[in-house]
Amino acid sequence: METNKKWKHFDFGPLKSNVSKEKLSNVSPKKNSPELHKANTKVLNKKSCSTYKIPTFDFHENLTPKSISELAVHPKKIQEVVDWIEKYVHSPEQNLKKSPFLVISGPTGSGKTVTLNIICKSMGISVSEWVNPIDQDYEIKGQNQISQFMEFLGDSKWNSLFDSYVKKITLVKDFPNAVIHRPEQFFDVLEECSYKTDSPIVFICTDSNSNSINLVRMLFPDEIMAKYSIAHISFNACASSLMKNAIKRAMELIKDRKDCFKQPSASTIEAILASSMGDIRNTMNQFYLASLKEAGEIPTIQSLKESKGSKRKKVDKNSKLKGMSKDESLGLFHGLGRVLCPKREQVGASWRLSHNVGKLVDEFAIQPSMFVSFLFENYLKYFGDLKDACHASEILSICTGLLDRWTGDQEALIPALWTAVLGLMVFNDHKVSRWNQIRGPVKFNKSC
Amino acid sequence: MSVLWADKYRPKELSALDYHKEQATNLKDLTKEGDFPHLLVYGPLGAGKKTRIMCLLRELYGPGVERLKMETMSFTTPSNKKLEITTVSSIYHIEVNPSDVGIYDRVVVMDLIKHVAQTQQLNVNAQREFKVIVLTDVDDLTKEAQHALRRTMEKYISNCRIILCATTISRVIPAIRSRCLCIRVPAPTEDTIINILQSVCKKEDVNLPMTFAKKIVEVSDRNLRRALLICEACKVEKYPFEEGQKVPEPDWQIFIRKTADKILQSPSIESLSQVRQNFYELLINGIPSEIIFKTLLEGLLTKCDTGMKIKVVEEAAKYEHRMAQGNKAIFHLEAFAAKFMYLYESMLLGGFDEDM
Repeated sequence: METNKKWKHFDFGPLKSNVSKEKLSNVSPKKNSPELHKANTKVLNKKSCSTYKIPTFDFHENLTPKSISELAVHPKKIQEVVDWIEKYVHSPEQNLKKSPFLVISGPTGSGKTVTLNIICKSMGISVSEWVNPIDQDYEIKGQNQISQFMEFLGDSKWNSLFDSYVKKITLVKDFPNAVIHRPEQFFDVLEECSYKTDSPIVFICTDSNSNSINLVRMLFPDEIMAKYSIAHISFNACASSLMKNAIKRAMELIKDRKDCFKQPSASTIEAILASSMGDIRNTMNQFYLASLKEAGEIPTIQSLKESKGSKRKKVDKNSKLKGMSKDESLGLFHGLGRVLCPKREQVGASWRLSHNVGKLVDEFAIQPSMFVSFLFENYLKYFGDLKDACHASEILSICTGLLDRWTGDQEALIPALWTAVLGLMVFNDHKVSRWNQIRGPVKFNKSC
Repeated sequence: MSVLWADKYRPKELSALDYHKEQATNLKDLTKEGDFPHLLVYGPLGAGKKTRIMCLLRELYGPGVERLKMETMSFTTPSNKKLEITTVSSIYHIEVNPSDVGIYDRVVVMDLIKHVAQTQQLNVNAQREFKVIVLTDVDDLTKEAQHALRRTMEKYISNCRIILCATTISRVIPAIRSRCLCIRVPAPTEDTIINILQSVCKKEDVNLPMTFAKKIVEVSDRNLRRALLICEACKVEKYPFEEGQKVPEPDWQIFIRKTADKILQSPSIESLSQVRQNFYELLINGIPSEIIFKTLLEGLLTKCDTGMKIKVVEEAAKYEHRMAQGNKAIFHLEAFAAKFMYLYESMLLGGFDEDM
């Protein structure tokens, strides 16, 4: 009987720490996951024997900033958000005509949501967030997702009876799936909201490299932004200095909890910082992984070694760390370099461009005309032959013609960008490669 | 008080205009009813577009339109950027050049018209029931601004009229063209300019010999304003006029000619980038791109043989067309310069590549 009972009551340990572990295994790279699972099961086994003292310290909850000063976001951006909230939430009388919408955009892990939450908390405003209903819900009710969404936004003017706060902000981060396929529906919703409610609505969109899921561009094109006078605050990736401060704070946090954490070595932290790419969430997860005490013995040794190895090779880029972080995105200068100094591969009697042009174009698809202006400003220095330059300038002239004509339609701009990029890469037969300073496009205002 | 002759002797009434008299009477008839449709006035530089618009307004509202004041209006774009633009206005009309603010012209067009149109006239009997908005350089407006204009134009027709002023209508979208009464103001003929110069000089008590007047007209390119300015400049330089007195050329013309020489002297990538700097210089100083293009082409053609000329003019036509379509003139200017350099170089070496 005793043994039977043991089989039936399987102890999963305290829920919280388990959840955070699961989260971790989700974000941790595939390489580490087998080890981590091993560690997990090991811990679980220990727990089920209940001889091991269970650490109940929730790292992530403790780490989440509690005040504005703790945020790893540039103070100016915070101020922008505060200003907006003050303008629309605290003194809405002057802005009655305009429905207060705000779009916050930025790369993943730049602290968009946390910033909003903390500012609201500090100003005594409650935040109610839209969460997509699961499929079953609306199949049974027979109400479609969009109308639920609409209802939610419409209801947002009423305060919750159980809330002590007087002011309220509605947050939409989880856009209903339907609007991604048909943005017009979203515009309708906005239209309705703009006269139905006067409570402020904040939309949070994550930037994305790929075109097809770029929410900011799809759901908030220029004419919509203008029509409803939507404010837009764009967050940048977390700066490395702020990241360092955040790690320092995390170190302070785990200092007192010697029972479940150890201090990771300086080299590990450096490796984490190097591979962070401005994503604070990812960085903190890496840090957590590296500082876990019981995980330190088996699974993280592997990753520690890896990061150490990469650190030594850091001179020739830390490409080893790539497995641990998100996909690389090309900077502007990098992209310009690829286009202006194209590398070629000999294939038989012919040649091919060695970089993937499609990906390159996709990188800069958000601002084609800006990228083309940069190309124009700098291409001459990389050309060694007048005939090539003549072809190239012809290509650029065609390309701006296309860009100027279809300014409104983003999709139509992509072929123009293709023309410019591919044209410059193909026609550069007599490439001059020497060090050149990249210059920004000349801006001039007509003086008369 | 020193006022330029061009402004001092600007006709103030439709009946006082010196040329295109038939058109003037037509305009007068147009305002007889006290109302008129949206207008699109176009024609080359210095042909008297603005003069006619002001005359028309005076006809409509009386001398009150001449009491002008300068004002700076500020607008805010959707992205929270503050814009400032100078406007010239009387109590009856407001004049603005939206392309001063570059790509944000759409905001100016929309807000300005809304702003003006939403203020109702208090005393309808004493005044007209509408105000007039004069927009200049409409052909330089971005496509978005033009589309915005087209919508707002229709919406507020009840209490405002818009007069658009442009040098060419090829860059004005057809939708706007069809909503306006298009009035073309052609450049005055050379004889007309000579007559006007003579009469102005008489009023100023200056003796202008016929031969010298002809010379000025030649240089002025049928631009009346420029002719008057040159005449005044010559008078300041040397008076009484002499037979062989030189008519001063504007700096930019000399500068463009120098640029053309540079292209001809050394067709190479280095000089191409210098040429680009020159183009930038010209554009920054507000020389219209089509004038740069035209003057440059004239300078370049002097050194070409007939076969080459045909090719160059063909290319020039292509790039000039593209330039008129878009709003980034520098790209097309440079492409033309590069193409010319290539053609010229291969001409010097003998024979063209047929694939170009």
